[in-house]
Amino acid sequence: MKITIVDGRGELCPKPLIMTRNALREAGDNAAIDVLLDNDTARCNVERFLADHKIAFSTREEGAVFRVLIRASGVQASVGAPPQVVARPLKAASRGGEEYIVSFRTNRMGEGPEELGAILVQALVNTLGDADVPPQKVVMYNSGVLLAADNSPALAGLKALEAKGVEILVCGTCVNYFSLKDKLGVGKISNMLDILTALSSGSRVVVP
Amino acid sequence: VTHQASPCEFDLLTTVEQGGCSAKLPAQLLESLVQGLPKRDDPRLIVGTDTHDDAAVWKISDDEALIFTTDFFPPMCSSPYEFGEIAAANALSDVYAMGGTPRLALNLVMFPSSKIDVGVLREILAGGAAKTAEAGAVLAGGHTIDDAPPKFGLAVIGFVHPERVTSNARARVGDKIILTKPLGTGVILAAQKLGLASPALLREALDSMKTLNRLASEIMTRQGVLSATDITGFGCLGHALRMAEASGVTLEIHARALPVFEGVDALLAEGCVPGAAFRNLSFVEKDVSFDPALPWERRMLLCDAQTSGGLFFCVAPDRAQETLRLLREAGITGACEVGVVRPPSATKVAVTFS
Repeated sequence: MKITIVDGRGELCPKPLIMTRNALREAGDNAAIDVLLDNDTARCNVERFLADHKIAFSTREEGAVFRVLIRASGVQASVGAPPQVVARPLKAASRGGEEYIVSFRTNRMGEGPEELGAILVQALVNTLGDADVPPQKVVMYNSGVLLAADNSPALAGLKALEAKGVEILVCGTCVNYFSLKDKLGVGKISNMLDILTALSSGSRVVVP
Repeated sequence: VTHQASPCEFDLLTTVEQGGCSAKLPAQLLESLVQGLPKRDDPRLIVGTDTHDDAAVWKISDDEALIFTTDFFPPMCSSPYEFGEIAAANALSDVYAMGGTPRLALNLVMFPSSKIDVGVLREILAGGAAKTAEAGAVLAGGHTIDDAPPKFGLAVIGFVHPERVTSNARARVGDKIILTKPLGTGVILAAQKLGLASPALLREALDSMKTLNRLASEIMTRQGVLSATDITGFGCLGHALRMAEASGVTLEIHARALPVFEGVDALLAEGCVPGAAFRNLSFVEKDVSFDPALPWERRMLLCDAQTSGGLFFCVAPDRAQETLRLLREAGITGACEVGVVRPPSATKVAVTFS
């Protein structure tokens, strides 16, 4: 798959969004686009645009640069017509057989409106479930453990991941802090040593 | 960097990243900042901070109240003279939004006098003075600070009859909502910096921003309007939300009926959505319901920060048609009926698209 790179580094809003939108248009049905951004406002706005149009994406922080990976199909961003976009599996992780761990530090994805963060994290969990190469492990700590609660909107997606054999480690101290012990819907309670071992294992760590 | 060009050739836009009302602090931040400030009530302060109105109103006597307001911002256009005109029109607009007549103004100026030819500042002040004179107000001084980038605006005093103050808090269920200028100045100004706005479109937006809300205000007060605001940095939805909250009603906005500069829809479809629109959206969205059929571009247009935007007011339903006719006869051709005031419901602003 050919990946188009949109280099929005050094550009101020709305330039990065215009570049992303143009790339989506040109890519047509099978968009595979990496958008590089170096400021958080541009990142938030591009992510918001993608989320609003139900275009699947994930974001990696690479030092001071955000890499927004778009792997969509059927992108039709025409004026007036409601977007008819089907989310497609994340394929980025399959490159070179690289292994990765997803670390949920909060119960949301990204910084910004809480509501948006909750929508995004749910979309991310679902997308992970469809990925060609699922993560090796998922670790959750601090408010990230709320995602494993039995009333979490991401519960179904996490259960699907676990059913595929993905180990979900939930920080025990955090579970106690939030009084979730009897309300845990997925994952296994873990300790700091296991979490540290996972995070330092050499696999790439994806922090949503 | 020292700018050497003569005042007429100097491009003010080279001094700023974001200008006009887009440069405002986000509404959430502003609210958290002023929350902790001590408040002193005075029965003479008949419009204060509670209703997020455009200006403070102080009752002097049974038939006179004073309107007090200020606005200033960095440049949003290339021409210093036009920047002065727009900044002044924008500051004066707060008096018009309260149903009053501006009488007295002071210049507020920040200008890097060692870096930019002071002839540029002379042009800015001349533009501001011309607009203030057009409003019939007197310029009586001001205050200057040596600072970059340039910023300009006015503090304005106006007068109004205390019973005819058009505040945010007096929208009545059943009233029709009228907006007097097209939306999209934020989008056009962002497009201008990227070379995406046609000269004709840019000209239309500049002319609109320079236009005083004077005639619109005179017409609405003659039509017995009690609730009005002007659409500026928080976008149409931000200002509508504040009116809905202050009045305890739900405002229904008809997104198909919005006046919009021709060409703005296409720019939005290109992704030319200024950051301020995203900021405004995150401020309003928990209190606003959107018709599922509403295109994304329309939603962002409703959140676009306007500089020197139009008046947004609520008029009795039986006078709406006549008001529109009077506005159009006065040359305010962009005026449209854009919604209706509903009884309070779960969402404070409901955007329809049918």
